[in-house]
Amino acid sequence: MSEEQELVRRCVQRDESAWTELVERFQVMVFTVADRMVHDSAVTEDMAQEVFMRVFRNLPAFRGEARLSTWIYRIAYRVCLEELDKPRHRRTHLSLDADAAAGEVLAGQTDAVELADVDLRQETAYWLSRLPPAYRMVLTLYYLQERRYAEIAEVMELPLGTVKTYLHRARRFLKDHLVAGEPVA
Amino acid sequence: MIDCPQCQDSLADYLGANLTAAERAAMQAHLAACPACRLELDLETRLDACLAGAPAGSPPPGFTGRVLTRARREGLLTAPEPRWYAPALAFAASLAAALLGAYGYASLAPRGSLDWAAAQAQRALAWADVAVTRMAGATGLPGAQALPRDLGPAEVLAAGAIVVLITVTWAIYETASETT
Repeated sequence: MSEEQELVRRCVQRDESAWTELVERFQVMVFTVADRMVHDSAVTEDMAQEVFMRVFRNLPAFRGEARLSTWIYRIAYRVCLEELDKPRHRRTHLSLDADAAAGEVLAGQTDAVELADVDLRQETAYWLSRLPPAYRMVLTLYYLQERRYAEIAEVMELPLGTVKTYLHRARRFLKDHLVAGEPVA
Repeated sequence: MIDCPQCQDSLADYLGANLTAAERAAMQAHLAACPACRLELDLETRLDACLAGAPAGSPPPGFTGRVLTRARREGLLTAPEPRWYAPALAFAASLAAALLGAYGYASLAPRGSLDWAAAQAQRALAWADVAVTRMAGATGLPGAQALPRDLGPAEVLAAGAIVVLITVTWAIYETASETT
């Protein structure tokens, strides 16, 4: 029995020390997803708590077919989507299809734009928050999951090709807006 | 040889080391000869570093404790019932049912059939100690007491019924324990 399976077994038996271990092992991962997906520190902890409640409720049904981290990411993603569906978070996300056309024009201007003075991190965070949730999640997981497409596809229950398309479009979106130097609202 | 659109489409995979050796070599050859794609690579590299270097989420102090408190409040972390509790209740219920049934049968049945039933129950008594002892071992209840051997037919019949019910209860309990 692997260490992960042993941890799950102990959690299912309601071993409090195992629950503590599980929370401490995955809390940074869950907070990172919640932060990047929702960008609202007022609700991040509530979301993270909800993720762990669902983890504990559903652990008896966890069969170990996916890695535990993949399974927890999936739960976190669903909690994020539910949160983003609430009225306080609803806003019009920019369309990546419309943006693709702008991207064609902007791509040729790359060499004319000076990015050195731009607070790239702040700009990137802003434009990341304007991406539709699925694109945002793909980008977030791409860097959290060490750029493994297969695991992203497993977490989001999407075909591998769709994950690659989303990633490509999301990066194109960010690059185009950063290059255009549009003011951050 | 690849062209500019192919090169720019593959820049993320190039940076993420998601290309084969041949694809990587083709990218490097194109980038060496194409200033526009090198600029695009520079932008991709900055974006990549920015996204990869974004700070991780930081759980506030005491988060784990609050999760466990909420889990207890929602009944997720409640200690399971003691192992002896459920089978002990089942045992008591079985005993009551068996005594009631035996009393009713002894009051109504003809004498001959009672004697036959008593003989069968005497044989079953040999299993009683085994079943009750195993039950006691499995549940932590006090050990089995020696069963009296000079019982009348009604009492022996009741004891036999109890043995059957205890055995069934024990089997159900063991099955339930295995599935949890």
